[in-house]
Amino acid sequence: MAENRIRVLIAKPGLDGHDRGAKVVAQALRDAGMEVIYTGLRRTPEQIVSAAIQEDVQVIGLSSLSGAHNHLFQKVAGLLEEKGYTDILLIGGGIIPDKDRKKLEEMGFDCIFSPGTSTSKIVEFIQDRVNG
Amino acid sequence: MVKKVAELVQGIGEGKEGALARALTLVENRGSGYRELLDEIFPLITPCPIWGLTGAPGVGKSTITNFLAGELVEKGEKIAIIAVDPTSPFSGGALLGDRVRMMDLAGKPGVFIRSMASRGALGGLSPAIMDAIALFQAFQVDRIIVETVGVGQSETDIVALADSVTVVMMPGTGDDVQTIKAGLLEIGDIFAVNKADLEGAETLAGLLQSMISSRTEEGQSHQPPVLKMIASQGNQLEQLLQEFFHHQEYLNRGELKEKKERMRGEMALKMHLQARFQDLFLGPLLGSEEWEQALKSITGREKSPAYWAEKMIPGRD
Ligand SMILES: Nc1nc2c(ncn2[C@@H]2O[C@H](COP(=O)(O)OP(=O)(O)OP(=O)(O)O)[C@@H](O)[C@H]2O)c(=O)[nH]1
Ligand SMILES: [Mg+2]
Repeated sequence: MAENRIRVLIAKPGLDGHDRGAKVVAQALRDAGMEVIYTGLRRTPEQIVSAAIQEDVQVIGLSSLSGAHNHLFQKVAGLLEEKGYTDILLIGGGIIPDKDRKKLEEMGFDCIFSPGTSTSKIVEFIQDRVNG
Repeated sequence: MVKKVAELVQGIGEGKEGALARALTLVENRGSGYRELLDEIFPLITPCPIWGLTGAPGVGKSTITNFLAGELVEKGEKIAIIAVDPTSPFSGGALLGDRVRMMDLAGKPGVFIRSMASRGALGGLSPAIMDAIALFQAFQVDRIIVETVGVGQSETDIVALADSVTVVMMPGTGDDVQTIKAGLLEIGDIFAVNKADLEGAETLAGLLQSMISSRTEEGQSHQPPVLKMIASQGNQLEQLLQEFFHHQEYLNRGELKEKKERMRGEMALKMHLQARFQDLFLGPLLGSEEWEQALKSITGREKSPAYWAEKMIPGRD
């Protein structure tokens, strides 16, 4: 009996230190029946992409606390493209200025959620895009 | 052969991580073609030592794994890590967080980390874990480290699975006589009392040591060592690595190695038979007309579940 589960990698690139938002999202996705691989803080884009490939996830969620990590988000999108993993759903969350958001979406991000987004909306988005 | 399966087999043979990762998913999902895949990679398998780490949540298994794998990769080995965490019985989801404590291994060439949820197995190991091991061995890794949370069934499963098992404990979590009695002594080839920087480590180690000595038989050549360590500071981890090597040499000297091979073969065969049973018998029955009829009869107190089970799968037992 085939039993598919959505696998998601949640990572937080960059050097700043707290990850409450990322953990809340990780738990919500778990409670929605997904298998969530949580990698912790301070991961480089290369490490994030390598983990995503080994874990064979369908979704990568990146969290950031400030616009300063824009270039790291871009780097992840670039690496995925380079390695031929464009089918992975790429989402981001955090405080990201509008102009950067546009750019990220052009670079391959499927959605950038703003800080107030409810977790159920994120769950729904992922389920729609992966199963639909 | 299905094209997808052929590509995966070829990719694994060529050492491609992406192909291995996809194959692991196919096997975990029991997706279409997974038996064929396992059959095709079987001749590619090169057996390698399997080390197990088990213990209660948060005792330091991942911190230890991080060190062991790091050292082995330095020696030029290709390492696989399978980190198993429990599936939530309510949602079916799982939070797989072992990578957080394996930061030195992140992105490191020569290390392949796969996080697995226990899925169908109630508190135990995923039924697909034996197959994951086969895939890694076909991928030509030199060693496999399996980390499992020690709850219920998984503790006994890990013995059938791993050549050498380290049971990790820490002071102050009720790891006292009672826990030790609950089967832990039987499964450890090595015992690690981690977090020796916390109070109570000395007492716990002493207690363990005396319990082990009292049950080790006269003339038995392997008495499980008890190591006190502070994994977060790298303290005594080199010793643990050496103890793993010692135990392996011990296995290689006697007949235990063949016994382990047989146990693993048996476990894998049982798991596959169970899957066949699910697919061929239970699957078609679920929700069928007969199923509904049986449920009605059982809840109506007409015929017993035992009666129906025999009717559904006839034959003598
Ligand atoms: N005080 C102290 N803390 C430690 C030691 N070793 C690990 N820790 C900490 O204990 C916590 C759990 O460590 P992990 O390595 O994640 O433990 P684990 O057994 O893999 O945990 P699960 O996989 O969740 O069951 C982390 O915060 C570690 O930093 C130690 O020797 N002393
Ligand atoms: Mg762990």
